[in-house]
Amino acid sequence: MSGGIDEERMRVLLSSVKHPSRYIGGEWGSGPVKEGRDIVRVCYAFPDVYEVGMSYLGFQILYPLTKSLPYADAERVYAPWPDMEEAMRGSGTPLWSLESRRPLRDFDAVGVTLQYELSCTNILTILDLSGIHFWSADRGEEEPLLLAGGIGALSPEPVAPFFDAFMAGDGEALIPEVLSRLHELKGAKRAEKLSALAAIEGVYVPAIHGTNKRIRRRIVENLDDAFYHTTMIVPNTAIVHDRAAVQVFKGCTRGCRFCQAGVIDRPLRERSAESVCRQLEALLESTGWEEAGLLSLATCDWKGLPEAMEKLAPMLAEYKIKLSLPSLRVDAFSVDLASRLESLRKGGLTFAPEAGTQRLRDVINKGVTEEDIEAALEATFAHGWERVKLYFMMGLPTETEEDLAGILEICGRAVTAAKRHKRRGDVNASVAGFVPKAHTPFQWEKQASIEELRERGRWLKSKVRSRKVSLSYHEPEQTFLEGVFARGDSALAPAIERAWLAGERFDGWSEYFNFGRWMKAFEELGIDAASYTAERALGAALPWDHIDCGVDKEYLLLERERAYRAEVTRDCRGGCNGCGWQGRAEVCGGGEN
Amino acid sequence: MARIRILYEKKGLFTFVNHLDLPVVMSRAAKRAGLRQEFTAGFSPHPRISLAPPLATGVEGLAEPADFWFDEWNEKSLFRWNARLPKGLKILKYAEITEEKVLAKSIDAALYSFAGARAALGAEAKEAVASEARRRGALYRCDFDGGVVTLAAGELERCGAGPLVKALIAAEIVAGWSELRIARLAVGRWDEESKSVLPLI
Repeated sequence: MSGGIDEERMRVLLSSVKHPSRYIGGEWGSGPVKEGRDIVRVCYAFPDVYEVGMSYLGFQILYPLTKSLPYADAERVYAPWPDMEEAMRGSGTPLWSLESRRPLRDFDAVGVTLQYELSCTNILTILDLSGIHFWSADRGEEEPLLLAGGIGALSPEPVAPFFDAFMAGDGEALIPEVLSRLHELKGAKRAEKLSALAAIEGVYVPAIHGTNKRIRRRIVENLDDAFYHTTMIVPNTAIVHDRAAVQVFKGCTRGCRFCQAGVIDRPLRERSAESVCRQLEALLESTGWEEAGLLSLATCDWKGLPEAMEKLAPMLAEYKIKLSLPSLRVDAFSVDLASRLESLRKGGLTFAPEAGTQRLRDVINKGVTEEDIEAALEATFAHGWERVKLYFMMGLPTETEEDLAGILEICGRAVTAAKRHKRRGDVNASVAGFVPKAHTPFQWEKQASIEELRERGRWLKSKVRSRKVSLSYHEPEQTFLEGVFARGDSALAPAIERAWLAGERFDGWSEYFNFGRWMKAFEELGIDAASYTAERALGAALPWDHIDCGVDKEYLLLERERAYRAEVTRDCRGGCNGCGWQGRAEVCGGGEN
Repeated sequence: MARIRILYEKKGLFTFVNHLDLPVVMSRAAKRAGLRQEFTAGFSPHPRISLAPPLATGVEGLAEPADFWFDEWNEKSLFRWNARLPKGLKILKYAEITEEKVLAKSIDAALYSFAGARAALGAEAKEAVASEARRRGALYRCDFDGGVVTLAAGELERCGAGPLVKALIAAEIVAGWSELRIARLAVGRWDEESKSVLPLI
């Protein structure tokens, strides 16, 4: 490898941008860079800005995991903000890794996580600033392999032509195997490396497999026995989720029909309270963080939660550490739990009823009743909070005006509950346009159009009567584009390139999102973008059919039928629903929990 | 409870970490070192810390004072704390403080140096820096030697590196921050007799 970028050159760049600490590295817990010619070097790349990327738990796990392998080393990079991109282009400086400050081109592999549809242009920025060819087929022997993981690797086609290989499933299971193979093949030809990776279960190499070979998602069965992190990189500046974090389970048993994570992260694999507490204590000691998070798709459902709370309480109190539980369940139990965590009742609580009527919540299998909502709101204000934030979706299958009116009705109930307890009762409702996602029971649905979403959003806003309620809805054009990529195929890759060339960056950030450029790119390439958000025939081949997440298509179809009959499917802790995981993994409880 | 005054240095690329982020960065390091800080009262208790007037990002600090309050402090504490600070941040010395006076009230002067990043500065740079400091009623003393301007100035909140660099740009001596290497060499009290900035500890 060549040397890193010198400090003087960096000072010039850093002097000309906002938030320069994003680019300096040197954080506690990062490095040191391993010496040695035969080390496999991977640079983990997050295609969004530092504050977002540093908040991603996945890389905080994969980083120490990779460094724990004697034959491998990990470094990091985040997408440079447009001001830094401009400064780098102006001075001809290639994108560097934060640790050794070496150009990305010098690494054996660049590992990108795919977390959000609208960050795809940032991947191209990272490649371009690194002098790495966009298209896998164009890359030469001296360029790194471009690998991808994360939730987006399970419906990878829109970006498939850019990547050399995708890792489908848990990185804890895949990374050691992939890096060990690359270590054995250090110095070998690309083609040789790719065919070795293609032989690993869970690795999808588009150039070799095409879309005919079924790729079986890999999982870690026992999380207590698997690698878990006891160190984290502690930023020198505030980030979005600024805390020590532990994952308490993978998977989710609720079976919400709109939720992609709830399907693709199955089966449920819970950590023990004892192991979580041991890990969190070690993390707090090694990081010094003043806040801790117990993360999962639904932490209030974690069997170990009461025991862990009891065990952690003295330590959290003694060191004045705030414990946060993201994703509160909509019920009184969760509010009581939150009230024990937050003695000062700052801010408010956040709930996601998702839909306004019981009928529609049954359609989406969101196991929340009218009584749950009432009880949660009542408890929130009884415990002394002043504000509540509510998340809803619009454009859900079978939605009617009555369902939208139900959103306003729930907001009104929150205001009333607050009055009863003499609280301010500010209600902040956020309404997202529903995007049908791959691998879910709604993967065949039509997505509401831009016009429909805008009309419904405006209707909702116009009907707000109380000045206590503030309602906002997501930008329908962004929702549309998310929908295009969420169920896209590889024909979209040229459009990503074209939109990037036209200047698109950070599309998830409304200040940079330019819908006109995207539509122009689609038009020039003869792509009918709206066809991707249209209804799909039940028998049609889907672009993600070759990725086997473990849940059967027959089960998804069955769930879809039940949705249309507004029939709920029980939480699978209460009994196996036969999603396809039964018998496939030993850890699948099949309802015995 | 011990009130500990430290002098620390902020060097290299770490100078690009914002001054406002330092309390959290240093508290986390103290916690990693097993030190217990006193917390403020009120709605959002946080570790009690006093820093000197802000140091602009990109400017090196060679002896920056700060006050911390710890439950316990002994000779090994400094070593433990230093070992857990991020790269570029280092505590040089400490003293236990018994007086009540707040840190800011003990500070009325700072010593800065301005050097060219690539080429030496000329004597006109001294004039630009000195006249800007004088205009702000902050000038104690300004010298020029070997292409480096040193400035002792008061009014730290009003006469930091920012306005001085602007003055250098306005005088067309440099085009921007990146052409300068700036350091705050000392923060403390102006001593009229020796014409120098005396450190607090």
